[in-house]
Amino acid sequence: MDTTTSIPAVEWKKGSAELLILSLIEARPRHGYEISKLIEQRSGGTIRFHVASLYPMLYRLERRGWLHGRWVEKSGQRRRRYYRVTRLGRRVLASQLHGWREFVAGINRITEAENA
Amino acid sequence: MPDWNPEILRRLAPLKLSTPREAEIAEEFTQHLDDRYQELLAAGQAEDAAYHTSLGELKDEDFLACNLKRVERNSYCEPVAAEKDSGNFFSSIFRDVRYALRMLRKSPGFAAVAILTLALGIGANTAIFSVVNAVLLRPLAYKHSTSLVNIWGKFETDGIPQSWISEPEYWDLIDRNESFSQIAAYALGGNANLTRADAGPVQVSSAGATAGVLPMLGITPMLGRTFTADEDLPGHSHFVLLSYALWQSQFAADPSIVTKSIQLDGESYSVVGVLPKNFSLGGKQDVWTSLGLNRAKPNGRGSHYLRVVARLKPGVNSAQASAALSRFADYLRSTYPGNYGHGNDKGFSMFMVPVKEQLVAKLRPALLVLLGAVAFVLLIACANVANLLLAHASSREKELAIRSALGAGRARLICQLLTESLILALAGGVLGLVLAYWGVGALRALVPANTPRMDEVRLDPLVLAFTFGISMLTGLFFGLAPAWHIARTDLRETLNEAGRSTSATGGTRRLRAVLVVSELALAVLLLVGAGLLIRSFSHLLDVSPGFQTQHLLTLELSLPDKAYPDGVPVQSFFTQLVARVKTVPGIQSAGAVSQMPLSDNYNSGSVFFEDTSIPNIPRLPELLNLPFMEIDQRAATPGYFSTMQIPLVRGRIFSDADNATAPLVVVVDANFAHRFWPHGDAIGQHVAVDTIPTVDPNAKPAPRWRTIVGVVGHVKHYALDVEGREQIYLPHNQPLYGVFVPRDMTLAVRTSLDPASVTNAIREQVAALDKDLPLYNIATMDQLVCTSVAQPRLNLSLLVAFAALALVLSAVGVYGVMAYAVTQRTHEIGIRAALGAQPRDVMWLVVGQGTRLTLVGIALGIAGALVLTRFLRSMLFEVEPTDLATFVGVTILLVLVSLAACCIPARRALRVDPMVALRYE
Repeated sequence: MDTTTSIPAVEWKKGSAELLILSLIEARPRHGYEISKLIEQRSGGTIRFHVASLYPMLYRLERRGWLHGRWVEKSGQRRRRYYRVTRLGRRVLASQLHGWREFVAGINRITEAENA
Repeated sequence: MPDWNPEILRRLAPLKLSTPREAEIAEEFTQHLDDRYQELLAAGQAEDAAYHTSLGELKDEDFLACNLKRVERNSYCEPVAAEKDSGNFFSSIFRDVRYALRMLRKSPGFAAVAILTLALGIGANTAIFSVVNAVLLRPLAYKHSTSLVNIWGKFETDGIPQSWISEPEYWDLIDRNESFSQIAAYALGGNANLTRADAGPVQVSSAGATAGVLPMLGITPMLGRTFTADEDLPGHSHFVLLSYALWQSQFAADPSIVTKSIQLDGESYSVVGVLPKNFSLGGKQDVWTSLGLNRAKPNGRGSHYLRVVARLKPGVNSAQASAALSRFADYLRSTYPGNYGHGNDKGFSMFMVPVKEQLVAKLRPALLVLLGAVAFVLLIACANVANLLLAHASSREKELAIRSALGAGRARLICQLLTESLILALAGGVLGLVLAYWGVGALRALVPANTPRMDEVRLDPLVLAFTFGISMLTGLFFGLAPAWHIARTDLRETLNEAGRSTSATGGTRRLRAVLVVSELALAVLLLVGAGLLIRSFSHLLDVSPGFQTQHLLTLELSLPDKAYPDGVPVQSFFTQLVARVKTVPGIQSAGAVSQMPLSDNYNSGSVFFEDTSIPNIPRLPELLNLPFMEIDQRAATPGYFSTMQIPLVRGRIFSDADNATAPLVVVVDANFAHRFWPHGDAIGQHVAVDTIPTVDPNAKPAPRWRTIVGVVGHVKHYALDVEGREQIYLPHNQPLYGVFVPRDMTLAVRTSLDPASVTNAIREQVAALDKDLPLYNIATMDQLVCTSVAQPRLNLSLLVAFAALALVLSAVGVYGVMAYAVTQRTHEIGIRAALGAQPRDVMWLVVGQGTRLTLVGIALGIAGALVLTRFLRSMLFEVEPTDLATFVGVTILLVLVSLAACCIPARRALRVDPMVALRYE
């Protein structure tokens, strides 16, 4: 994963990457390029995934059973591999979101207390 | 677009992935890099810069491999190259089967559609073949059944193509036998009242047989024994065999029944045995009594009621036996000219029919048509699955190309594809067997009750072998399509087109088109056949039977000899019964007749004419020297015609005054009057159906003239599509020979209420006259009409079902081909749209192609139908096999269905984005 200026530490990104991917495809299936572009756009360019990072992650999540990839052929287009979140993936996502929010809330409480 | 493959593959090489997995990852990365490249070009970057930036997505060579290593280290490796070194045939087969199952698991939707399509075709074939096998192919369950024959007489000049045998003829046949090792006789169609102390009376169907019938057939009762010769003597023949069904239903399967006696028509019969389950000699027989034929005092030579069965001697063939029968007929004609007159075999001859043929000949045409129909359905299913497999093979070209590059020969790949096809076909066969099992059950429930051998229909080993055989043939047949495709495809080209499949070759396109055209042609054949049967059945239902069928109830009853001697007792009973029944509330009219139309109950006899000027009808100089013809004869009570609403054409119908002491009268039907007095008046003419009884046996009999007093409309007695003979009605109260009054009569009751609701009231009226007299065969006339057309209705229903299935499969086939064609022509469509083609032009591109295929298929189908529909002729009524309305209707239907099937792909073609299409290669 690349880093740019004032970006969270690599470790934070690694832990949150799975969360990002799961949350992006929770609403509907997406292919790899779309996922990488959405992450880049919605993070304002802060987070970018290249091929060499994104797809190993997708494959890892697929092996765990959190995602399911399927080749889809649409009229007028080449076939693409779309990823959708599985039921197990949804549970993991909900758990990770809950954990992330608690973590962020905890950080905020500590930093506000220090700066108060 | 740059070729990213070398870079991608170089980075993936250290992982040593299986070839298909590596290809899959490469394809996905390629698409990502293409999209990135396009994005950068759109943002204004130069091609070179965009290329390098995009390539940067892959990072250095170790980074990707390192990231993927942990994920892919447990990935499954396809044994792609294993077949190259395979030396063991069975291990190759086993490997192919495993691989095929794996491939099919990866495409569950495709496999499910293919298996279901095949199951429908194979299941239908199995179901119909099981019926053909049981009815036409399997030998009868009799000892050496192929040597058993039925013997018939034939009075061609008199219009009797098949006559039973009389007792004197039977004895003469035995005396002058040349060809048969055994001869026996039986008589069907009787009824008897079964009375028991602990239950109400029950009408049972009875039959009589000489002692030799059952041993000749090899039938062993499941309880007891058959008749002995001593039990088949005149006056000593009150012995009876029970049917299995009657033993179960009326005697609670009592194992000691063989030691007991039962009461039939008020007389005691000793039970000697219980017959095996489902034993029948055609129709239903509840009890078999010994015939006890009296050779010393036989019935008249003209009283034909015996069915004769015989076994050919070893070494005697059918031709020899037929020649011997001809000689026997010559002997009868020369010895008894009065009975077999006219001096040639047109007057009288004898012939024999194999017992099995006698039973099943009428069913053969319909069964063969249905077998042909399901074969067509299976061919259509095969064509559909072949098209599916062609599309599936196209999507697997890359995988097959890689396997080819790694050493798999073309024959190996074809073998693999055929293995997949055979597995699909066998799976379809197994599911088809399940469908056939249900189908056979449904068929048994739907066929008319008297259809012979239907109880023998089952999925026996021959049927299972048939299913296996057609599954294998089907698999090979449609498996040839993808095999042929692979044989013609340059797989190296496929490898050079990274991530893209090759377009269908011209040959493959033509093959798909041929398959669809074939499907459509076969569908036309089935639809035309179904259409012809629909029109035929519609005409059949429009036929007026000659009377009004609504609100008409029919009930049969039979008076036993012992309680009702011939003559007045019988007349009086029916006169009183009809009068009583008329008093039941809701009943508008009532009458009775000896043989009700459409009830499978017939009677005919010779009618002599006093008018000797009638041309073209024969005489019997030795008997009465009068013109005579064989005519359908009925005895009827006065209220019969008005109850049935048979129209009176001229004169009058019977009244209560037409009794035994009144002048003898008859009523004839319009066909009778028209045939014999086409320019005159039948009213007042004299005919005779019997002679004046004399005491002197040597006196020449004199005809007992009856006056024709009325002409009524002709009635369709045998079936709606059979005109039948001319008809003559005698008053029930004017007995034959002054004595014989029919004791088996059918009540006809016209009611304003639901016919079934008056049954109990009628039963009470019968019981009031005789509590031991049961009513039986109670049915409305509508039910009798329905039963009379049950077989044509069943044929029609089955053929329509198969034609509908063929139509659906063909529509799916057309849709599949057109959808695939749109996908393959997306680039072309995009170019046309970019160059200004209108939506209607694009639409016509798709619909036009589909329409051309449809019209070719229809043309071929019509040509085939014009040749093949003549085989339906025997099943059609008032419809020609080349009926124009049917052919036009089928053409329009198929064009509309095909247009509908083309609509979805056509609409998809309209939505093609030229920019996307132009990028898609």
